Amino acid sequence: MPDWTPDSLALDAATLRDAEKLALNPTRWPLIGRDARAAWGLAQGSGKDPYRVAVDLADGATKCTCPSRKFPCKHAAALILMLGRAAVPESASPPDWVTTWLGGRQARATAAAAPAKAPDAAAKAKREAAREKKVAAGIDELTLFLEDLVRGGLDDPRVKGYAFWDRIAARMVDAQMTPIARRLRRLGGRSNVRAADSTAIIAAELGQLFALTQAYQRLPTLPDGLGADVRAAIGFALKAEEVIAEGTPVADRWHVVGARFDSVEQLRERRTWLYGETTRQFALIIDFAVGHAAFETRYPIGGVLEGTLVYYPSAYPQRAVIQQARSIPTVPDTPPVHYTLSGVQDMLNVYADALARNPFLLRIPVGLVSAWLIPKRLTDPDAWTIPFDAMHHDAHIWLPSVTGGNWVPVFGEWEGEVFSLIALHTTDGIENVEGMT
Amino acid sequence: MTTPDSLPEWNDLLDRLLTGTRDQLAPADLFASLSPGRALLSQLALTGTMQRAGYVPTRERRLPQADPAPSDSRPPCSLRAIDWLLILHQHSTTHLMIYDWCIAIERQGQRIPVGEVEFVMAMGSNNPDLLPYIACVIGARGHWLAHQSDSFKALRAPELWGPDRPPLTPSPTPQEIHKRYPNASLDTLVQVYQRMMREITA
Repeated sequence: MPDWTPDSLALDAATLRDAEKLALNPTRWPLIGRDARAAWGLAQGSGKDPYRVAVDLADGATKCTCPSRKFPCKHAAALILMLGRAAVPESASPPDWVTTWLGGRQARATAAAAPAKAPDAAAKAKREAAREKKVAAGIDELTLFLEDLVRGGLDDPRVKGYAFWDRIAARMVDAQMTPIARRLRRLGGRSNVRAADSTAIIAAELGQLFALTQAYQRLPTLPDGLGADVRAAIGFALKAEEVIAEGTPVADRWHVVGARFDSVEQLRERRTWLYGETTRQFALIIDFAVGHAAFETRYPIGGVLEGTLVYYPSAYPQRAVIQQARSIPTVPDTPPVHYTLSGVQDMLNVYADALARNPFLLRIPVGLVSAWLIPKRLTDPDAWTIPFDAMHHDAHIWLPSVTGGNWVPVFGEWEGEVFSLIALHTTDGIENVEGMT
Repeated sequence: MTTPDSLPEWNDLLDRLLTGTRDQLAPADLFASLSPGRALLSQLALTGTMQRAGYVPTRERRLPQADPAPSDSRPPCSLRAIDWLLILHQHSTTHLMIYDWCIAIERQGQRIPVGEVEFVMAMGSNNPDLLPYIACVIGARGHWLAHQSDSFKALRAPELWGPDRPPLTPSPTPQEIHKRYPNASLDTLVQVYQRMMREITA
């Protein structure tokens, strides 16, 4: 469902500011034009020769001859901004350098779409065996690390530094156990804080990691769904096409109810939650973008997609991949469908059931019909209160501004000990905490 | 899954984890057959998971009393209009055009969406010249918020939004702005102003 629009640009503030300046200054564009396939321009920089900038309208891909390492650069971003404002005039034919660039893209796309060589089954099996061997060695190393750690105790001064955790995390990366490496790196930040809470968090995480090592060694004895959860938690990622080929499509009208963002070095991760109108199930779509590049697909919060998705195999399916879907118009004033739980006790019951099916589960999506929010505390209409993270740097002012001092429907993730806010329902509609996607 | 009759106390497990199992004996429970280290890790896994599954929330003595903001009769302005406000705010040359942005939004009977109110009010706190203009567009939510937080106490002044409010001075024209900022292109200023007014009043 490629749905490229100028709005899908994911720009840092500096690039946006520079692009705006350029877009608003016609004297910096001695040539500008567009046709059905592309938009192009000559952007005058500080040098004698202007930069050649082009945008492929099919997918928003850009090209610019400037030396910037940002992608898109400010010149390409400015051209896209002008496109969004219908400020790029139609032109009869593009310059040669645009035609050449488009031709090269077309040739590469055709080559990529050509049937790939039949996979060599023997080579594939060999690769998989090598991977399993690497992971098995990683599991042994992790087990040893955990045993050594608890033998010496967390009071050991070595444990306090990031380096201690980074070292084992790097070993896990070598063993192709990336999710485990991420979890270990996060413990590095925790171990610096000498507080009862942080000890408890590290303790719980060490227990979880140990349980994962034990579960992996007993994979053949686990039910299929749970086995898939253990493999996913360790780092065996299924490809989307494998999930679609082997899973069952689920058709529905999927409401886009909220999104969270994370980044690891140059990779940005977006976790978008959908809710099925008929199936009454949540589905988590995870996608990635590199550096400043835009996410390939837009999921406007509050929007609705009609189509099918396929859940990843799991004892408690949450993550899914979209097989095919299209955006459909939303009906104004339609009551939201995903605030299904009346209070904290309901939420805890759902979570306990989920953990019984998949004890390695990290979080569940939760839509509460009504909640009272203050920084660090969420209270339900029965006065049950849980720890709460508003995910906002200025929560003590932002929360009253969006709730208006009232009880509001909220959507977030319960992570076992804290409710992380993703979106809430204001008098003006859904407000995603981390901005629109 | 087999579970022990009684789970070890979580705090005892934490104490053992802090001091280490080197000099500890294996526990006399489900994990007695394991080394002290493995036994502790298993106990952490089991007790930690059961704690998560059996999380006990606290209970407030009484429910919080809502002190809600009055509802707004005016509809929110478009997100495109908010985009324009951000653009104007980013550049010193276009800052003064915010006056006309606010006047236009108020004339259309619109207000800032509640999700943007806090940001726009903070903009006013940092730019006192904007206060009378911002007061016109922050709606009932903004006026309520000004009385909730001292960060926005400058916006409580009745002369900013009472019936006797003095008329607002419009933005200087692009030509006047150009005189103040001769390095800015006059063509660009005119183009920005015209496009902004066209799009927010569409």
